[in-house]
Amino acid sequence: MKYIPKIPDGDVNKPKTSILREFIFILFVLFLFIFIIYICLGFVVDILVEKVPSDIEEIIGYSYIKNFEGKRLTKKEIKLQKFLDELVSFTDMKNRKFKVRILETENVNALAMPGGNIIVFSGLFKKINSENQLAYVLSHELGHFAHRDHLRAIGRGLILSFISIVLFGADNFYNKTMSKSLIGIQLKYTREQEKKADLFAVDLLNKKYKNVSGITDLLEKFGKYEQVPKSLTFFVTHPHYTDRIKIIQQYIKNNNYKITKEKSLDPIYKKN
Amino acid sequence: MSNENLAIFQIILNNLDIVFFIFLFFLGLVSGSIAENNHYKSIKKREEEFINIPVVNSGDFIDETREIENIYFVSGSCVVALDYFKMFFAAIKQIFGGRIESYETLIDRGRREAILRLKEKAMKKNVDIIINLRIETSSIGQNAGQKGGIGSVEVFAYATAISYRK
Repeated sequence: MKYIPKIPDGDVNKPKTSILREFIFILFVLFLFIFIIYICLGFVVDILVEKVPSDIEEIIGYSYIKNFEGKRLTKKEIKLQKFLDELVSFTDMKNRKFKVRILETENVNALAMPGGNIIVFSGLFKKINSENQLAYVLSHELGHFAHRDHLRAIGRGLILSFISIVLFGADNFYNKTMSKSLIGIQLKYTREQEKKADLFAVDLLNKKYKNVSGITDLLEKFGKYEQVPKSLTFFVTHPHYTDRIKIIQQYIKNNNYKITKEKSLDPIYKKN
Repeated sequence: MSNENLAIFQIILNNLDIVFFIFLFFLGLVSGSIAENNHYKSIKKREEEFINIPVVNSGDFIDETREIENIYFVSGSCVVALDYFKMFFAAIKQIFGGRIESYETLIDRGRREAILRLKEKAMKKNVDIIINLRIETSSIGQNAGQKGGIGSVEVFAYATAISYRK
């Protein structure tokens, strides 16, 4: 047998098509797949959320307010609690118990936690100038409770983690990266909720004060504090403040709500 | 810095791992394909250079009319690293199944390079024929997608080389 040296034709082991093109295609399919699962499971969450009994919500909520456990209510908190109870009496949630605590931080924010817990960041009081504005912040959070947004957010967060773990396994680098990019969609969902909570708060303020003064001023102030460019609103939970103001102004106009004088804020809130 | 720039900066800072991942992904895509193309060019060139040494797995090719002077054990090994693009592509492809093209070229390069190094060694010993070529492959470092990041593949080729008395 004779050996004839010859180079074989072509690189048979090299893919003929572009890997990058295939990568883009499978990434698209993957996102589509995740999106469909997310939407389907999202509907399941929406149905289940309506059925969560309040005692189970209390248990879920406990883990969020553990840090406040054993801490006595401050004078400011007692005053704020009274004010919150007064606001609740104007809503359909009179039978539910809401608790408010103040977290000492420079940040300007308030959070609605499961179990009827509201956490107000102390930095917020520096930005608030009237009782109406404080009422607006609390009413906005009550709006989240009325729409059960806090439970929806937890449910959807769990779905995202579930999808990511099933696809890439737990404790994986991709898992983290993937869920972070998916959170973009999740935030979009909460932006819708924020809009609804805003309008709920406008209605509630109108019920209490018979006017809706101070809201747009407060949002403008928040806007200056946290000026996220409009192009980047995909990355944050609340809608862009100019959009929020526009929607609220339109809503006020449509409902013929009055804008008159604001009620002054109790000086206790401004004290450290 | 204006508030707007500060906000952009803050968002980037909060998502630093994603930013870093995207950077590594594109770095892998660009540098990985440049390295691959260059490697293939060099492989092809050397394959032509060493074409005259037969590498066979059958004893039928040994010229029995000639006296064997020396028998050597020759080997060549090569380690090729993955890049982030290849790794991410493989991780996603594993969900759907099918050929993982990004690994195919990696293994192909590794094997051909190892054989070429084996041949280079054999050339230095003036051998006439290489028989019984075997190839072993093992992974070094972590597998793709596992915690700890990037891995690489080691290919080891070994064979018996024979030189005839001149």
